[in-house]
Amino acid sequence: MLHLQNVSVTFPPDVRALDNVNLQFRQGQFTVLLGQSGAGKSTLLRCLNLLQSPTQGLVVGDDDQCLSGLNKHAPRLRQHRRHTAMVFQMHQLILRQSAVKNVLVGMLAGQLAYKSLMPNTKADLQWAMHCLERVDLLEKARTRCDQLSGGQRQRVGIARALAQRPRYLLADEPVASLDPGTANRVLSLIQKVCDQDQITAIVSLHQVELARAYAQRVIALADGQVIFDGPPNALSDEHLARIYKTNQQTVNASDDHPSIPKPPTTTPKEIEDEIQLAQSVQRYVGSTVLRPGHDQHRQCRQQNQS
Amino acid sequence: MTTINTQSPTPPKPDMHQLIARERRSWYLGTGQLLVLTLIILGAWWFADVLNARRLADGTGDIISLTAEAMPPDFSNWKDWIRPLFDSLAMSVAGTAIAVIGSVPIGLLAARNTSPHPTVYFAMRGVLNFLRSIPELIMGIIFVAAVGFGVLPGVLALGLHSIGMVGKFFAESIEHVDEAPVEAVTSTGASRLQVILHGVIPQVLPQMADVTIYRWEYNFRQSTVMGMVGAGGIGFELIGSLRIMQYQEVSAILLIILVMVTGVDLLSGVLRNKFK
Repeated sequence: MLHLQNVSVTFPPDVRALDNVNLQFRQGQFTVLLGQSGAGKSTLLRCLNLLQSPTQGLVVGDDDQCLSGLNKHAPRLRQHRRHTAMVFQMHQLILRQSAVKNVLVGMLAGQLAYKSLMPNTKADLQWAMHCLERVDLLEKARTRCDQLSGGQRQRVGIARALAQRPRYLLADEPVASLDPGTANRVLSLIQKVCDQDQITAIVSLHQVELARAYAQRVIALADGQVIFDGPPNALSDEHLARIYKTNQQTVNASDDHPSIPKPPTTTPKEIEDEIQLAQSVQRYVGSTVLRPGHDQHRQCRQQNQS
Repeated sequence: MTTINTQSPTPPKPDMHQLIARERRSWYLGTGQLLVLTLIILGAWWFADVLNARRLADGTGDIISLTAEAMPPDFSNWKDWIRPLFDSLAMSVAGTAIAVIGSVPIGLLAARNTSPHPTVYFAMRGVLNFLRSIPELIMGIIFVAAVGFGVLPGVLALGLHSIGMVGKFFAESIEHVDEAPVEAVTSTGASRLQVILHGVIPQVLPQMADVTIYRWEYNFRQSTVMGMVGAGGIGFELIGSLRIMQYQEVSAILLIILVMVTGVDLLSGVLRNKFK
């Protein structure tokens, strides 16, 4: 069980990224973190892996071990990191190296450093290849990662995480830079492998439909505080309005505002983005029941473009 | 995504006159800087006597007569030069290898992001500056005095001096590494050494190869002069012929060096392309 107790993170000079967060994560649940950029989703995930140590509060890992306040490379911390694998938005692979080499990085924990200078053992390679097979990329094992597409790179990132034999999988906006179709495939993949291995997935997203489609539990953050924690069907319009700090009136107002030219007239990119975002948020807020299927797909695309 | 702007976004209208004025001012500023640079160069020339026309004119005649004396190149002693040429080549390879072996650990310790402690960082930067500030010819003289004539003092001098530059470049490329994959390796629970081996080193390998090959090329050129202080190689033959005023032999040796340098240059170009 992962446990955050009164965790706050303050970045200098005075940015409060997390504000007194109390959360518990149990084995085997697919949890989605929702929130705007800057709401503290990334910081929360990085706290769980202790890439970011909390300014205040405790991070308690499996076996009730307190993990905050340890040295950056303490053995106990490395042990914890090994079981809490991370998947990053920008995959964070070493692009010059082959996919399988990147996956092998996931197996470093617990190995002695001199082994890095030896040839990889057959067992290690077998496990790495097995992980690649699970993300359906076995045929790309020896391809350099800079020759892979965005979705494929993200799948290599997932394979690297799986190679760690994790109990928790922390994914920081894993689909934010992918097209809707690929995003769906990557998320189903995460869901499938986590289900098979009883891994707790904690995934931050900014698409509400995707959260509704995949999550068993939704945690919403705004300004570093948890403002919702529960099953996705309990997520109401008011919650969403709070998450995205808007309400129907103001969105409508900005939509009809005379000073904003409507697309497709040529407008500066920023303004167009703003309009699209406003529209898609209005759609979340405006409709009580979001239908799955192509409608969701379309909205998803709109969201992705903005 | 950023916050939603409920107000109408009114982009501030840029003042065209102000923009034009700024553009014009930047032209004057650039020209002024160029003028200052020109004055500095002229000052340096004047100081170094480059602008002394009479001295240059007097020297021209001597240069022409020396060149005439060196023609045609005399290759009759070519058999004596094969061994020294190989000496020079071996010296450059051996010296560069010493430089790389020394530079990897020093580079890691002298890079801000991999150095264990600021004290170590500053100490290693100091070592690198020290090695770089002693010219290789001076090092050659010291090592000839220490270990005697031959190729060995040349190898040691080139190797040690090269650590100063190669180590600095290694450290700098390590500092400019992309932190994202490094963080990813850390997140798997890897130890500090493993993070360096799997997060940092793979990223800087191309730059390391590039610097090493460039340095090998440079060291080969340097190895041809190391002989002048008694540290073996083709330079030893060159200074010998120069002393007994065999200018035709001198020109022959210089031509051979030119061919060799061109060959090494081509080879290093091919190798560096391979390591992209």
